[in-house]
Amino acid sequence: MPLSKIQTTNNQVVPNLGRRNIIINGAMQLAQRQGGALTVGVNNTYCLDRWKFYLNGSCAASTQKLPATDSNVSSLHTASGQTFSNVMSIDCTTAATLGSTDLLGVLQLIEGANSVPLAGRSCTLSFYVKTNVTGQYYVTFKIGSGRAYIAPYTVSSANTWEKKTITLTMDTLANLNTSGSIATGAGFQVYFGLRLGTSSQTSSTINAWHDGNFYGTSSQVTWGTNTADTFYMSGVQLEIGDTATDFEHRSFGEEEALCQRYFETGTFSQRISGTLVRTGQSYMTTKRSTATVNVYYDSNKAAAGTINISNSADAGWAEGGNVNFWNMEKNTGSDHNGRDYNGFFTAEAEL
Amino acid sequence: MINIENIKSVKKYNWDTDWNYQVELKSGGTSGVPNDTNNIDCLVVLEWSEVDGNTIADAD
Repeated sequence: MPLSKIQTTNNQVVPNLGRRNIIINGAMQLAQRQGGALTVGVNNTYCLDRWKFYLNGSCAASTQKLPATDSNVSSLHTASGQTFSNVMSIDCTTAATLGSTDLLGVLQLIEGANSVPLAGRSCTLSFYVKTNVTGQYYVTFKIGSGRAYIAPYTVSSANTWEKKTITLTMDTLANLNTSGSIATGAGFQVYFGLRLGTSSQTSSTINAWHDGNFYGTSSQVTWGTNTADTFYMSGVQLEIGDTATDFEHRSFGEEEALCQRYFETGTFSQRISGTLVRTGQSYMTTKRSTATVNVYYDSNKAAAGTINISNSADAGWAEGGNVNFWNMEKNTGSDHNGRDYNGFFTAEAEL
Repeated sequence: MINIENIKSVKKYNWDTDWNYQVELKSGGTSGVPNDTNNIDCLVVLEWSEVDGNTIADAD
């Protein structure tokens, strides 16, 4: 740790440690929706926990949480000097030339209340990246569609892990409140772009806050012109201060709880009687807002509203709840005394 | 997250003192969306309801 990060408090030397990282799941440990499977990326949907996939245009890509045994994870250990369990991969599955409205990237929305401490402060984003497509990329800090700060970084060597660091002064609290949220809505957004059509490019000065909904400039490299294109990322950290400290490894349980504020999945198993049935259970973690609730027959989560009653599929269940619990209800029309109700649920309160 | 293109129909559902949206999906199944504009799926449902021809059915 550099001497500049050692703080003196009442004649005690106190290292600047702990609870630094604003990013949730920056080490890519959690993927409650897709597990470890290679999954087709769908525009404006979440892939790994807290990471949203953006895709517009003819290019297509899949995402995956790579396990510790993957060579792309083990090679990160050597490059970073730290031991990471997972990496996010983005694999091109359909190559395409760049269209004017193309966008491809992943982003994390930071809740308003968590964004407030950063407002007007010097902050540093650091992350590890590896891709076969070298050149200039952009990380864009956005507040809704009203404000944007475009920060470039360059991938110098193909298929080699590189640590990137971006230091900026975050936008003011007033702008955060006007264009975003300072409460439970979306505050800042951190967007990592891979492709960028002309309609989302700006000619404004980079490394400065501007009004508008922009993601980069014409200098953005175009990833995804070859199905061999890959993009790996992990160790994403955003912290207050002008120095990138070592990645803050939180315990898995802490990281899981942070993710569950926005999305949670689990199982239920109950024995219930009656004809007009309402049942449910508490969440592991209080949600950001009232959640969208789905109940399912099995782990495939094929069609919501269908559960398992005594090993038979039973459809037509209404789903509801609040920030603390979910429930489901159905007038079964018959006496269900002593029947076993099983299934899976999801609760989504994402930004 | 619910894709607006995947919404087949929407009806309100009464939970005694409250109600929410039961969203029937073209891909199959029904999703319970809260009547809460802090929920992003609720915003999608409201956007869907503003398209000509789309109607949110009242609760049974």
